[in-house]
Amino acid sequence: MLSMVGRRIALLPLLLLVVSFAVFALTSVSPTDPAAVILGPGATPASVRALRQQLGLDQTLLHQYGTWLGQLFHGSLGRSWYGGVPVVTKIAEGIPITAALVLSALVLTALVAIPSGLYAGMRAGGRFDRLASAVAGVGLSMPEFWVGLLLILILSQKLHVLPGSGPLTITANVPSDAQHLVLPVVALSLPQICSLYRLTRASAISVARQDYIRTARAGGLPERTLLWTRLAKNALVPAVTLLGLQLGRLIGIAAVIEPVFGMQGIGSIAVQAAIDSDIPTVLGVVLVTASIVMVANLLADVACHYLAPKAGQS
Amino acid sequence: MIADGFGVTAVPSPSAGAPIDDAGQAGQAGAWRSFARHRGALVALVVLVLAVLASLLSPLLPLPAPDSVNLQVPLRGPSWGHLLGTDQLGRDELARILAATRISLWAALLATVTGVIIGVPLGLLTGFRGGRIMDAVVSRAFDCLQSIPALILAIAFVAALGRQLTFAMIAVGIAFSPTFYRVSRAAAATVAGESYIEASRSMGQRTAKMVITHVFGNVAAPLIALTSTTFAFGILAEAALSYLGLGVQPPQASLGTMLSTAADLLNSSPQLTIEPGLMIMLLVLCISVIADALGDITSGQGAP
Repeated sequence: MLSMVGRRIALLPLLLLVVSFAVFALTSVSPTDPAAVILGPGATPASVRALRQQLGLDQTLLHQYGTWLGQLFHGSLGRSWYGGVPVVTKIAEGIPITAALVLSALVLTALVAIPSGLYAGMRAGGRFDRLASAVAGVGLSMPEFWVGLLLILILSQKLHVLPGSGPLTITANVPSDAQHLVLPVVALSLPQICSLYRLTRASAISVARQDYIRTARAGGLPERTLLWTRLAKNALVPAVTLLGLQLGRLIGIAAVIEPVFGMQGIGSIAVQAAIDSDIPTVLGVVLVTASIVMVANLLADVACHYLAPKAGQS
Repeated sequence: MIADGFGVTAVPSPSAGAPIDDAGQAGQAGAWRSFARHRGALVALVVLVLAVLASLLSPLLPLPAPDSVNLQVPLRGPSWGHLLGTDQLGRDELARILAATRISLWAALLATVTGVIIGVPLGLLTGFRGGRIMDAVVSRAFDCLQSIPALILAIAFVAALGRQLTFAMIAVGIAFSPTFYRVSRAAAATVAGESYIEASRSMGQRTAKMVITHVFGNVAAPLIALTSTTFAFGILAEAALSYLGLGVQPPQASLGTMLSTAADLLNSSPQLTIEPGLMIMLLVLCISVIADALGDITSGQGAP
């Protein structure tokens, strides 16, 4: 167990090195010149050349990468090419917003999908199962940002129940923040709930077919006890693994949801940076995201190990 | 098999799935018959074929050109002249949706093919042949790749290479490749342990030939279902990236760019937001219903 954790953590820096080098290499072969993008279409060749020099784009690929790595060892991700703010500062401002959004969505997903999936799987073919499975199928085929737009249209613009978009301050004003979070969290969670529901249901069905469940049932164990003790523990293993993987997916999709709701999280920052050809900022977001996802998957694997020690070994 | 979301696709560990049976070798007529028994999947297939044909043949349909501007009729509701109404520049909404669907399909195909090309050959090779070291190295590399969400990878590609749909969708395909790798590796590893493979090996058959004759048939079945789910998520990814302005650029119609202009007119003309979204939903729903049916058939469960 410990050696597995150690090996996985050791992989992280390697991944970050490869990814960051790949982004630098792509930039150097790119047909688009970041300096020209930053200055806009009316820029003179002389000003483009001057900016290239200041950004270090006139250096060789290895030299640029070496400089960036050198900064990294001093805990810096460089400065944004667009505005000059240190990338670390920019990301640090976005993280609380993205964390509030993504973690709320993750909790909502687990709270709705796991119990309903277990219940549906336990009574597969029943009325609840058929209804919930149909809803899940439809929910999975809706783009999250479109769900967000529809929620804004219905709940905010027509019914005026909840605010559609607005600044999320985090810590400054809790009730207002919570109100602003409802719609984005629902939009972000809906497809995740549907996919986790389907997985939990499928794994509950396969566990329910096992001999020891049949024996317990035949022995007269009440259905409710059966559901929440025997079945849940075993059916949860794939669900927890998926939940770990979903964190990464949620961060990715947050990049679309945040702009829809005008939230300045790391997703919005990355999208704006991509439009501005602001390579250091994009790179910073990629590295931070990949690290978070790797750690989350590792935590999910550790959790599975405790839920079902035997399954964890395979 | 559940495959979802942008990029990180969860396939329960191969051991949890049904063992790979002879589905690959079973007659095609048999597979078709069990597919036809899924009533819903059959309906989905018909709807999907109609939608694809309509979008591919839309230049031949009696519709205005998707980019012909008519400022006399901006933001009109549905009428006989414009079945789905018009947008803020008086362009026919139906014509634009059909043209946009063509781009969506192309983009999803690009992402899927990229994922298959990167994931499948490596998966077959390590699963069938791989020594411990090669297997460990390649598998870890794909594990690492999987920790970057598809949309974030696409954002990085676009930042480095420029705002073009092709770059964005190739990135999405790369993000999907670990799933293709894992599924084909698991299937190939199962086949590699079979005694008929040992027999052909002892008769001196070459690896390449064995992979083609024995492994491919067995891997094809789980891959078909995975390919269709990937295709569905390719459509969702195109819409999201173009919505963000990182894929298709206006004035070209894409389901994503149409939604991003419609978002500004959400309150006054909600139909412009609803219609392209319904098209995305229709395509994705049909494909995933078909994929589920294919998954059922290939995992040997047959009709429900």
